Amino acid sequence: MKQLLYSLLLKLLHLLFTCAELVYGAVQRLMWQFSRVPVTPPLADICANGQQLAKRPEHLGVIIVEKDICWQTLADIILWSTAYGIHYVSLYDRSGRVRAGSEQQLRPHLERRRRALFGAVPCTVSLMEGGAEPGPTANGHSGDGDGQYHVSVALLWEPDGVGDMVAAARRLCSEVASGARRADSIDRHMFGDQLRAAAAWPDPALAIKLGPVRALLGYLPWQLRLTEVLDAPPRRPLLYRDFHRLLTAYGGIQQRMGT
Amino acid sequence: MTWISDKKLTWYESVCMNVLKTGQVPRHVAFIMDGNRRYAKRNHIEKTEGHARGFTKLSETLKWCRDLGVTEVTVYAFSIENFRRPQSEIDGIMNLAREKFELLLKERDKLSEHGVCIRFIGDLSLLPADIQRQTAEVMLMTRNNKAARLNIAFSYTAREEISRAVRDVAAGVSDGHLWSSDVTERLVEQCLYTRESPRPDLLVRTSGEVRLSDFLLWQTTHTCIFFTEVLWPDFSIWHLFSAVFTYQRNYDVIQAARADRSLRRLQHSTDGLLPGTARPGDSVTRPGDSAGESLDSTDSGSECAADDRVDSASQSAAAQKRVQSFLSHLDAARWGRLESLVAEGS
Repeated sequence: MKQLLYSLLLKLLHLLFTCAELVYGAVQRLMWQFSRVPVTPPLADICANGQQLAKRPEHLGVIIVEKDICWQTLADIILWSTAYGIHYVSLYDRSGRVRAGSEQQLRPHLERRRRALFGAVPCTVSLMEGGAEPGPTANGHSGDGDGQYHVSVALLWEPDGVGDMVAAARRLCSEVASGARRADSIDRHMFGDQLRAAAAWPDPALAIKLGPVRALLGYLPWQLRLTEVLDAPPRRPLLYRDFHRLLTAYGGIQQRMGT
Repeated sequence: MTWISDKKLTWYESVCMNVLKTGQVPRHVAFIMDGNRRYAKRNHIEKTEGHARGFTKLSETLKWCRDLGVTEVTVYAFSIENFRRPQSEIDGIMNLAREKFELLLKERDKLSEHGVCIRFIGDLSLLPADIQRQTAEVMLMTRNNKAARLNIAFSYTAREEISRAVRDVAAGVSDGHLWSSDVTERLVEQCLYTRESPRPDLLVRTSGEVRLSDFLLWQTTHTCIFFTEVLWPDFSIWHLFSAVFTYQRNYDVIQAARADRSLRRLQHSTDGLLPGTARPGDSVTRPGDSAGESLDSTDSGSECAADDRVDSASQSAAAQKRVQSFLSHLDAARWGRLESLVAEGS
């Protein structure tokens, strides 16, 4: 009898939390509907905001753990990052929706938002899958951009995580089997160099999680060693001010590196 | 001062615990116990006293976990990176470790009574020789305890763990125990320090930091992560309850992601058979067979079983035999090293 009561209490608690989340979400959406949407500042202001940050990540990760992908949000994050001088952005969705939708969804959004923000200013966005060579960019230029603003975007999914490490292990073992390498030459420095996902990129210093799930669902585990993980607010599309707040919050984080 | 705290819960703590236990309880919880030094600074005490209070909190937390029904706990006690701290602080931490590990040896009976197996994970060769001997003795002393396990990550980083596992596998290939085509995700995982353990269901990090700091990177890809601002010595049972409640609220979506991952790996392994694996005439299970159907159930323990089925589906009987033989050999070598350490010291 006690067990039944405890079980009911727990179910009630979860129900109350779910209701509270739904009500809060509905109220927020209502407020967004009727409030004035803050205008995204012009490019010069965004660039100035980027320069004023205490620190910028060289590589920004975006981990998508929400049910519906907001392509405008992804396009905006890429372009705002470009304006901030961030040269590497990785977009991760475990099931590969971002990779699958890159041509039909992401590129058109990128092109539209790029025109709105950058206008005639040259901006090069190179989309690539995992560690593949960069493909044509959003504005039709080749991968070797010579504009001031450029960013490489890796479209990642689950096999780029642990799967990439296993593939690297297999390759190393093949080299050992053929005598091309000694087993004791394998250490953490050389193993990291063997990975193909975001190969030769710096590790992501910051990852923005889009969605309420409290897990990273396979995002680049090796590279995630010292990555700060911040949750984006739930509003979609993401506002520029929310992006700026996240980057500002990152700027205030001090890493002690074990010391 | 004890590793096995007997502190009783208040009646309202008991009620809340019993309520939580009617839902999903994580089988394996990992803790990044961060904040001892900031706690010391805030309370105007020495850093070593801050670490000592951190140990007291660990003892309490282990008790709460036992009461909740958590059967495995992994704690990040000391990172390889922490060797860069001032020598005086390192010496203080090592002295505290000596004291606490000696206490573990003295509490052999209590550990046996509760069936607690202790495992130290990390590059223990970096530690002072006497601490290496203590850790070896504790692990040998408790190896047959099966009710619960405590993994203490000491002189540990995940990258060192992963690269060492790959090196061990490569050494197996070099020695002829394995073929390179035998290398699978499950094999590498069974060479990690946390072999035989289910992946953590819940990871708790205190002190407000929002990164993993090179802790269990391989094992926590699909783990519920709970970051909390509280400093470790101030961690309370209510923070643990919040973490477990968060785990319950994220349970379904994380389990679905785990199941999806296992199914995708099974499909990948049977659709694109690796060279040197199954040959015509070998039996290979495919999605829809019993292996695929049983992937629906993916708590942390059955996820390991699901990974075993992925390997069984794609590997020939000969490959499975090579892998088992290699793992037995590796296991024997590891226990042999521990026995040598203890023998040297006595």
